[in-house]
Amino acid sequence: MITPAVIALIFTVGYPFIMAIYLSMTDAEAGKLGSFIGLYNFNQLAISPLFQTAFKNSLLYTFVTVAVKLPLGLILALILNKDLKAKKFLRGIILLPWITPITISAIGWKWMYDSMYGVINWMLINLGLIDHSILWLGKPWLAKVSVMIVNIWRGTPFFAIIILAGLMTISEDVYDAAKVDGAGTLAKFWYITLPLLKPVISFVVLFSTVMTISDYPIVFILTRGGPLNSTHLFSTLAFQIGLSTGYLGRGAAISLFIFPFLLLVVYFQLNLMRGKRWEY
Amino acid sequence: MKNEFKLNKGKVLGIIFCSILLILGSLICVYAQDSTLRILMFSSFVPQNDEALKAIGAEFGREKGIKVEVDFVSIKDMYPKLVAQADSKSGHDIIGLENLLPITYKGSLLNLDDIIEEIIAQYGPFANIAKEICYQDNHWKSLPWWIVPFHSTYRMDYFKDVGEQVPKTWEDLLRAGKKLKAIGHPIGIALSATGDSNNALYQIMWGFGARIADSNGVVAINSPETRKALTYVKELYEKTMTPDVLTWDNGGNNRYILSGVGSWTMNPISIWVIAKRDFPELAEQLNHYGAQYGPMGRHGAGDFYSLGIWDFSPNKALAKEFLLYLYKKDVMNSYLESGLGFNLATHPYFYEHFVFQRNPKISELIGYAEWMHYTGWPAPADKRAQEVYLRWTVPNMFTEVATGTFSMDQAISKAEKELIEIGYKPAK
Repeated sequence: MITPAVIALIFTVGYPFIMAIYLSMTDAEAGKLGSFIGLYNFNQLAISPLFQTAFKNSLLYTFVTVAVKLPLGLILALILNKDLKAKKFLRGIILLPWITPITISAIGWKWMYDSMYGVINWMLINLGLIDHSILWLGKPWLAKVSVMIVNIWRGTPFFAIIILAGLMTISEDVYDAAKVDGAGTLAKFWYITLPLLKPVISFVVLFSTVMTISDYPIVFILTRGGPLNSTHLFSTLAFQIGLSTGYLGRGAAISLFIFPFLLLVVYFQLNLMRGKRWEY
Repeated sequence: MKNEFKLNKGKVLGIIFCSILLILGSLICVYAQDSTLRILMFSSFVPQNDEALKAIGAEFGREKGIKVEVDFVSIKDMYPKLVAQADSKSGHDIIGLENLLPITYKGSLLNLDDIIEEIIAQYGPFANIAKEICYQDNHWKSLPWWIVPFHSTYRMDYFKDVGEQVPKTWEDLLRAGKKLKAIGHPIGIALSATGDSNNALYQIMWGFGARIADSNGVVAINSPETRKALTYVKELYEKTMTPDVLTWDNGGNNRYILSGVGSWTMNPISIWVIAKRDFPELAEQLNHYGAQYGPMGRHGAGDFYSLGIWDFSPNKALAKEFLLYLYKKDVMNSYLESGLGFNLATHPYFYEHFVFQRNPKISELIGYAEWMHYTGWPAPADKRAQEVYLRWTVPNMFTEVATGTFSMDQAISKAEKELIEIGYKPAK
């Protein structure tokens, strides 16, 4: 019965993956299959300053955004788990950033960040907080922060909704028992909620890490890797080298550089999920 | 539940078998339609261009008794599509090629020597840039079609207010720009990761005699000429522009002029086209000028478009006939007319098209192809030049110096290393 699934996986995951490995070890160019060159592409990338920048950026981008999305998502989930008025409406609306096509929301953010006509600068100036426009996408460190903010804005609802699903599975009896034992709000959160949410949190962190490290549209639309190549990620650089310039082999090698890191993340997260049975 | 549908091995195999039959059937249908000529083209900024191409295709189809399908995609989507088609050796028959793409795909493009020789025999030779891009390995790999020049767009009223004429040289621009900034109407060129930035800064580099590499592909960026160009742009940035130019995308300068603040920028005529539609009073004040003069002459930049035929096309003869058809006088004239001045011919025979002659605001652009160079010129037109363009090597170097991020020596050295990494030969 699993044959269809296996066939689908072979065609949609297996073939592209093996093809990417093959291409990364060739000097293939657009319209030219190329010949085998071993690890030459990887060696060249390792000494390329631009690739090194993209490499550092990808790790920083992923680490910072996931580290911010997790607590924000957790707080949001805890709020949404309360007996609020219009709970269903709030739970629905909170998902908007996640379900809106990213190209549309990224264009919206680009407008908001605009130094001359953007609403963010306009608001800050009118509130008297700044006296001249901030170049959100014009300075390297600010541009890095700006693209991270968009990723956090988009990804936090996903964390919230998955964690909320986890919260809803925790029986009220457990909290009641803890209350009888004299546990306060903080103790209940620390000794009951958090441990029981661990598998859910592990899953959401794993999934988000994979999605964030391979993020493409936010950076491509907002900065195209600039200013001064300061916001390039693996994916934007791979697109630039592989598809725009036509160096398919090098482009594939850039993409595959993510793979060992993702493998490590998957390994640790799965271990974390399987390693301990939580009992109460 | 009654009548519940249950999957078993037989049904699953049946579904797979039917799916394979369906896919094979579709493929057979696609390949059976040999009488359909398929064209993949970039969407033009001027929608009438696309309509005109469709109409030309339909007319050609009527004459030949075939169907002509034209698919339009954005430039951004064109790149992955071309890679996919070249690798799978299937897709459209004729493809639109931007800038140096004929070089990227020369191994998969049909030689067009016969039809281009026919065009040359009828009208004379193409502009130099056309041959530099489309003639590769002793063969014409694509048919030069049109260019989108990147020239100055300026506010006549603001220049008059400060007692200046249209700037014809880079020095004129610096002088006028200082006065314009003083009255609250700065000038602007993008100093950012965008094509506009490349197009403007390359012109300045060339105007000062600087280049990324020589015609043999030897790095030449570390030169006194580059330093002069960098000094000029630093002064231009500090005294005539605002820092907003560091954040501009390709639409940044359009918005700048359309807002009424900006007084001068470099762009195709799209700002004027939009102004005519949305801000007629502003459009009245806008005017254009061709490439500026620098100490080392007049050099222009822009986008170059040509058409190629895949060497795996099942309709090679028909595709060639269509390309020839595009160069019939009335066909070319109707196509250029549809662009309202946005596209200029790459063949001198069509330079003085009546669209440009009848409107003094764009007549300055006649013959722009003669000043225009491909990106990376005079280094060979190849993938290295394309990579330099897409890595923003030149805009980054200018931005680093203009903003004081790096000293001139540091910025040049960084660019030099990047050029060598891309594949240019180190200078001795």
